[in-house]
Amino acid sequence: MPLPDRMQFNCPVKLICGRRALEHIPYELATRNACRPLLLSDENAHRENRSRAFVDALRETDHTLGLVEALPAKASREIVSELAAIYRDRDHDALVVMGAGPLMDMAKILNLVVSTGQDDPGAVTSDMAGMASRLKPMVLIAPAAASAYEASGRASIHGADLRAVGLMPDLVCIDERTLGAPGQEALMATGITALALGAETVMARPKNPLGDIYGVNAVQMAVAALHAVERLPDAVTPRMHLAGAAVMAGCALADRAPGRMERIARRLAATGRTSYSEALGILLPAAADFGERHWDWSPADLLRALVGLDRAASTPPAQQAMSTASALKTLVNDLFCHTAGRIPRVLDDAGFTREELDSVAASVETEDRAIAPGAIARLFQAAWGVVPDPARQ
Amino acid sequence: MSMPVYFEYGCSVEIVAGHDVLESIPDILDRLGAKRPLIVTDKGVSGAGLVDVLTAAIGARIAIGSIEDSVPVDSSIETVTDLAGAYRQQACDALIAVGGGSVLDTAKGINILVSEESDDLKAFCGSGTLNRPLRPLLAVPTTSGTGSETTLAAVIKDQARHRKLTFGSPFLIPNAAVLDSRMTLTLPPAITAATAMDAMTHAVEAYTCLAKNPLSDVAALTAIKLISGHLPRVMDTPEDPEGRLALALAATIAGMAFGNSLVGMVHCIGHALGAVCGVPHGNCMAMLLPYGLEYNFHRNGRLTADILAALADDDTYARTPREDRADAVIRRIRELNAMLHEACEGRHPRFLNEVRNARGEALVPKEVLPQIARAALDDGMVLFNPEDLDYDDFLMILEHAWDGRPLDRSLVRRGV
Repeated sequence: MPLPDRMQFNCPVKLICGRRALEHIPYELATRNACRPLLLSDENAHRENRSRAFVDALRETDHTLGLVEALPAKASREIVSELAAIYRDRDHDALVVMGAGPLMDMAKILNLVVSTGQDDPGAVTSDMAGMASRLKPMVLIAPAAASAYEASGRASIHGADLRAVGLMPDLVCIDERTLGAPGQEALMATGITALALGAETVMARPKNPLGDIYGVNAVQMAVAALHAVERLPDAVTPRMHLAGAAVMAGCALADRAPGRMERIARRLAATGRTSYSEALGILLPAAADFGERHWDWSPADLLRALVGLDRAASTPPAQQAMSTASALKTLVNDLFCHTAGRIPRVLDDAGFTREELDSVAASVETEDRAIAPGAIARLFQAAWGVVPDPARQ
Repeated sequence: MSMPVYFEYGCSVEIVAGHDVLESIPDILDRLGAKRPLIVTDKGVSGAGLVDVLTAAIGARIAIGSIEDSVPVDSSIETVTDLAGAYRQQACDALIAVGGGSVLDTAKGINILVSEESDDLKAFCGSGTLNRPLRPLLAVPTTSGTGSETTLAAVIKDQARHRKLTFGSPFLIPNAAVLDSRMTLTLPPAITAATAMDAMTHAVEAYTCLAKNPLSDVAALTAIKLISGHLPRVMDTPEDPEGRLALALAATIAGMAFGNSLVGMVHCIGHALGAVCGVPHGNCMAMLLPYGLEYNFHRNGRLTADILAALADDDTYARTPREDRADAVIRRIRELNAMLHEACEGRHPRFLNEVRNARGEALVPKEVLPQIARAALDDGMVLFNPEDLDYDDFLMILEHAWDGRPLDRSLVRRGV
């Protein structure tokens, strides 16, 4: 295993996962000197009455819980300010977040506001350097359907993209009682996103064995869940795996800058022709192949997480990268089949024309000067469904 | 993939690893709001010139409050109290622990006293006694084995009462571990071998014992691969910085693995052997690891077999018949010990009857094996071993390990 000359990794998240995990939260809060948590939940969690399980978990303790439920997906600055006022006025000392994506983004900003004593969320987001290195305790109760960024050190709110280890939750709890009951599409989007983010962590250089611990787990858990796609909405185990995969992917990202595939997928999603998770799913197999040739990626490092030890070990080293790309293609093709075509395999399935992809490719190359001119167009051709022309590789 | 019914995993230490990362310490301290660190170390480390390497790397960019190298082999309350006084006298605001487990435990103890503004360390003994962040603490390991830079515990001796006090809190975890290849380049071969096998045992027991979880599994296999891939090279070329960095990283990753999934009977016997006979911990681990795998074979042979790919390579794993893989792992660990024995000119013992002190006297006379077996029974890690053990089982294993005979697996009694 070649190591880079320098590595850095920081993941302050403690994961508690499994049966009656919720009941461990009061102890974990107490060890962080907190006993007055404020619970924030989004509309999905509120509709499914998920907070009930957490309230029950606190019943036999001396913790005092505040609840603000059914928060809207997009939080305004006013809502952040109102929540900060509640946090301070009621003397809360920790945040517990029950929800996904935008709610967690908002909670990260709220934690900055209440921890730094800054009243204006805008001022906090523009002055990350002034952020306290130790924020107030924050707990994420992870749902099965998530953006996969919840546990990361990233937050997007009010047009600002923030990155800092301090934004990561102190504790993540995965408990089957609070996974929620989302539909199959939301669950598959979670699995594909976690798979892609974890896979990029493992394949991309420079190598970081510390981040790979989380990246490999994100891939293993996502693959296990996606193979159970028929049972996704109903069975507990695949939903536990999805919640775990999303958390692992977030931990693997930590406060790292977005990866190349992530950025390209964002550009594709910005066209409005496909969702972010679909874009990642389409790009991943092509990027594994393309990345090995052009970006010094190591797809072979991913094979074991995808197909298991026995199959990976029995694959000759020279074939491992190709087998990785092949396994990813098979997985995405299977998802296409299982969903009767709702999950696209290639850009063609998502309705892109080859011509419009050229402008997206150009915008990506403008953003990332390290990419050779024309490279993204070639990646898109492979992801569009064209068999690559070896002469052009 | 299967998930345990319940598990926990976390390692909040920021890890910075590389060939010239000591230079990043001022930036890390700055981020933590500290400007004047106390450097805590021992005479062995300072005598080897490692503190000079550190001060040359950071001295121009930060005001070092004081350098204290009086940490003994076993940290004590008196040492901690004295050094806390030095911290206060020099108006320090952070700690840098440069050394092995005892130095880091001492620094953790000092951190308790200076952060809690107390002189009574015993008042913070046990767990749950700390409830707020302490002063910034950075760990700079100078051996590649214990993994203590990732743990939340400290063991400090109360010499007046002849007992060891244990402190446990998430707030004791260092803020950062700085793994620089320059700090282990001069580690002598026998210590390199023993500490690497200590880390190897952490990883193998983390993967094969009862409290394993998906994250500790990946960490454990990563550590095993790094050690098996680099240890022979480092024994051959001790000044190889790539290999030294890999071993340092492996020890930290193995620490993350066993810190979250605990260990088993190899550590039970190893702790007892260390307490009764004073055998260095790494040597205990190296000698006993094959016996732990043999004893638990009927319970976790499938997991032991998995290790073969990390210990050797994928091709060896694939070419070895499924039913032979676990045996191949045990055989390879014995071969690794034999190679280390030869590379260290006999100073890496393979069996208990080979353990000698500096004067060449036997450290483990056969008569003390019952005493070791009794002490092993009291070790809490026995709860996480796949197969049950009682006094007779421990003694039977010790007798095999003393002679250097592979374990007669027909003697292993199978619990329910």
